[in-house]
Amino acid sequence: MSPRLAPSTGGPRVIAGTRGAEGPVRVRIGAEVVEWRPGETLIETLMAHYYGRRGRGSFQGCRRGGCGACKLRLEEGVVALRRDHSRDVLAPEERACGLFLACRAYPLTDLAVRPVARRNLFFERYGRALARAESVSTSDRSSPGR
Amino acid sequence: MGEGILRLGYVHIRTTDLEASRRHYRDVMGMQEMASHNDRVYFKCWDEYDHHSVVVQQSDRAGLEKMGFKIHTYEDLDALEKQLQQHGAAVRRFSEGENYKVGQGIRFEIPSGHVMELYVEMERVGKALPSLNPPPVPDGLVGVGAPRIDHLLITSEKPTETIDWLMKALNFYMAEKVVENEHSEAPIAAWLFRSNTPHDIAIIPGPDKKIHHFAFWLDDWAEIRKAGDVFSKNDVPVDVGPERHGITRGQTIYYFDPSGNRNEVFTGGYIAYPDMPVVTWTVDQLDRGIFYFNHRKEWIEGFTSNVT
Repeated sequence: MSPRLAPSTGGPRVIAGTRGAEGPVRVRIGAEVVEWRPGETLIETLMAHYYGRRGRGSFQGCRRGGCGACKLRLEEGVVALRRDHSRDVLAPEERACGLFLACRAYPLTDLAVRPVARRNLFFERYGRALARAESVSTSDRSSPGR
Repeated sequence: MGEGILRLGYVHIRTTDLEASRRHYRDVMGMQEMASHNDRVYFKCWDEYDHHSVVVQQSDRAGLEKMGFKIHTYEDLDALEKQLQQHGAAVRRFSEGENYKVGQGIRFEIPSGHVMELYVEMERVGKALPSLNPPPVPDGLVGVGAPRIDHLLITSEKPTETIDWLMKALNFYMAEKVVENEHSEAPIAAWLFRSNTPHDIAIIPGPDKKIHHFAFWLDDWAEIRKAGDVFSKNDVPVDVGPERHGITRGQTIYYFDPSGNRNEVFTGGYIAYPDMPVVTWTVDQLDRGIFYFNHRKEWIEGFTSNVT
């Protein structure tokens, strides 16, 4: 049951599967390249080497295929995607277009990926109040009795 | 006439991996597996005495299938049915046994699209302790060993309307609310109760029909630490915590179940009475309201936006 290694040509592909390549692969994300190792999901690689580093925020998401926070667009390479993810956050049509969830994915070849922007209804609705809050919160917090 | 809604009775959630969810709720949370058939597993906590409080159903999606609130009497059920209809709800009766081990009741959607059920009876199986001269804890608790579920938090595209509707149509009381500033009245988010805890259900802005989390009660802060030990040992993905809430004064860890539904272990808070003055938070203090120990003032964006 060794994974079928996809040809390097033929464009990015997301295929069904539960394991990745048999040796380390290189994953390009933005301007950086990180190394994925067998046994890890791709989000584990990115949390260990990409998020929370060099000014980037920490990764915040469920890591269990439910919330969609780790959704990536595959630009080059082939990934195996597990079935146990919520179709609410990754529909079959999206998968066919090269979108996948890093927490449910294992690279089969070297990859190039791009994070997908997400909507945040809370910020869209209350962003102005929150922005104002950021500008006044320091003085508010320093007042006595808080 | 009794007292209307008594408490949150059950949370019925979907999973994309039923066996992994079974292990999570049984072996990590320490719930008792009460029944398992077809695509569902039924669980209860050790200090609960009705047949189940969590139903997990296999699906191709995560999220909340429905929530059930237990009602005191059948007269209350009839009265609430009328009141719901007066507030525009399409109420359907369900018969005894349509929900496994649950008596007859009513089902409807609240304005945010979540499915809610009200029922009076569920088969009583008793606590894991005797009723006569009981010891304080049962033997053989596994993992976290949570004694009961506590509350759930849902998201709504029109939270102000949903909050108002829940208070008028179902007589929920408000413990705390978030408003835009000190001059505004309309709640952006609210913590509502019918029992004597600061919330049985809470509503924050977000997409309709989604659940932010449901919570298990733990007895004290040390139990929260112990739960954290269990989560790390079992590679349960922790979201935030251990932390302290400004809102409700609770103490908490948030974490995810095997299909990404957020759970919480919760303790603390205060006794809420219907005549208690509503506690109000302004948006500019919301980071402290949500996580009181968050001195880095990070806006933990994923915490407010990630739902199932």
